[in-house]
Amino acid sequence: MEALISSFVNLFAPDTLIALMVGVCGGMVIGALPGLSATMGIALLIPVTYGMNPAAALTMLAAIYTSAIYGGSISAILIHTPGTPSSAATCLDGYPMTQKGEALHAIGLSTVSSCIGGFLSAIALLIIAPLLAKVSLAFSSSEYFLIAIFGLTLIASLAGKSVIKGLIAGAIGLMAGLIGMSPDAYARFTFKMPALLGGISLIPAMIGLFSISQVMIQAEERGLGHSTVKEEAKIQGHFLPPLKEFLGLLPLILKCSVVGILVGILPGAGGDIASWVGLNMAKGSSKTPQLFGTGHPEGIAAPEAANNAVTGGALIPLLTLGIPGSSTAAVLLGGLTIHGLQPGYQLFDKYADVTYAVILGFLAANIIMGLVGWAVGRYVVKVSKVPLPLLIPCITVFSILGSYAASQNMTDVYVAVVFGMIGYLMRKYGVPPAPVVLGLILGPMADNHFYQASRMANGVPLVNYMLSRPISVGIMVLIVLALFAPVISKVIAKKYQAKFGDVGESAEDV
Amino acid sequence: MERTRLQDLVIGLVVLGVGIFGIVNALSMPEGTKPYTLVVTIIFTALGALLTGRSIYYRKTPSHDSNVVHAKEMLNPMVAFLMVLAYVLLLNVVGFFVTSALFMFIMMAWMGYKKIWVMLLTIALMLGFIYALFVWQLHVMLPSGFLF
Repeated sequence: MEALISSFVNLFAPDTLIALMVGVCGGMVIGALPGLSATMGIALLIPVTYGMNPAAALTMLAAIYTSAIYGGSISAILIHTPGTPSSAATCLDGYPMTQKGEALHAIGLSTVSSCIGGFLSAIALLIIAPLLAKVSLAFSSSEYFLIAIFGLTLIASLAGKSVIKGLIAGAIGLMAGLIGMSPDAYARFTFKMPALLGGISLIPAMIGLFSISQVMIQAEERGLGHSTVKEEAKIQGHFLPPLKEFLGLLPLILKCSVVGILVGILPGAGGDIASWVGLNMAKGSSKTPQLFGTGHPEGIAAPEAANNAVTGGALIPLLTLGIPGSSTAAVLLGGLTIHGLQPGYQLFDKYADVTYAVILGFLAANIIMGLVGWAVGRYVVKVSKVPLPLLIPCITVFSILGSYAASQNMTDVYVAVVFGMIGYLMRKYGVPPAPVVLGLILGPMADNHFYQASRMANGVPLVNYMLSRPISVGIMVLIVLALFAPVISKVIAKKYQAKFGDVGESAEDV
Repeated sequence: MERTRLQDLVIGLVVLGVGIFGIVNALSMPEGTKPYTLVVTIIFTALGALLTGRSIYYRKTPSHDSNVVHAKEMLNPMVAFLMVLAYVLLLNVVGFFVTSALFMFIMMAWMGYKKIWVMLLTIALMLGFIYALFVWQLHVMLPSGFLF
């Protein structure tokens, strides 16, 4: 009780409140700008917090984390360029909504969903942090490898019209993930180029696939005088979703928030994975799955709730065990260290006033984020009215800058440009670029944990080793279900159609 | 052969070729690296073979998951790509700010915008913001060359 009272005093100190506001507003800007991710923003700002008191510093960093994830959806919705990897899934329905003149509605949905997801994850962090952290202790490489495989099975559901082309896209991501040093220190597919030893960085590849490819696609409009929004569809309507729509989406938002919290707790799995899991869940449970990709509200609410719910979940193992739940949380660990704070029991004992101030500040940040989004969203939406000839070069420069700024390495810029061409060709020839991102994220994770699990099996065949672990068996069951669910549901749908109407699909629509 | 099927055939053959190249390389990798690499390259090759086979088998009917792409509609995007490539290659030679200003001006003009004062104002604001945030506040070392 004393710690909670002290933490309130810490939270309402002027410098902490200012840090909180700066974190929320700055995080939204960082997230909204293509190429400037939450991880990069926090990494660059940690040295800036050195002179601040620990509660203010860590509150600001946590606020940046959650607001940047939300801010990434703004550029994803308005200009089809995810501001952060976590917002890639939001592009699929967010941008089509902008093209229909419903940008304000889309940002409103994103704001409400992000606010609820982040708030619930903050509650989870506050109440059940130590309990949830204990479960993740039981995970080892075998389980993480299988989680990566489970994530890859989602590709089929994200494939759009063609499952084959979707799987090829995912496999392109897996192949790109092979480049660089293998887990046993072998230079793989580097073609004797030292620049490739570090592998293909995710952020430049993502910037190329979504942002630079979009620049090339917009170049097709050259001379035609089109805006990003249909001329006849004005940006109008209500920011806040109607009550009926909100109540309809609420169960999905709550489900995806829980998923996001659980994904966040798993070390290494961040908002990028959670948003795709959330989107997949929404498609699976939707009464109108055929509307996904056309500007469907569920296609925005689900990934946004999930990716913001990751933020609190990722802080749970970070604060209690020193194991970061996401790459951004890993950078936050540096923030703890720089202020002389070690993760573990002492954070909740000796430094409880600081820890609970940060947690309460994080909770407040999610509420303030919603209010700022509500206040600013209708003005941010005006970005979509900027003429394309002015917007496209600015996006290009910021994308190149974003590719460079993370590691200050020109190789990343070249990667972005190459992936820009790849992304453009993929989009022209009907190969969806989104599964490439999944392959790039999950491929290295699967590779590393496959290698470690093989070592841990100690001569026992890997499959037998995995079958001896109950959690691994549970994940295997989930993988089988995920693999066969689309096939089973197609068979059932065909039987239903054969009974009540013509079968429309041809056998080769695979 | 139907046009969309021809497009898919080309994609399938490219994927198949890259996959086979990957498998051949994977076979010479050390035992710790080989298994996972082989699995991924075999999957990639199999998908390429599947797409190639599908294109040939259904060569007379249009593909439901492809659009016909004409070379003409790719001309402007390719010009834009070449401009981006030139911009990136000149960054370390000329310097970030001068190269970016030139690139933005040329691209805005090429895209058809005519109000020069708006272009210059946009460029100034954009580069000013980048300088304030990245150079002044975050101390990021941007690419430099013989100019600023």
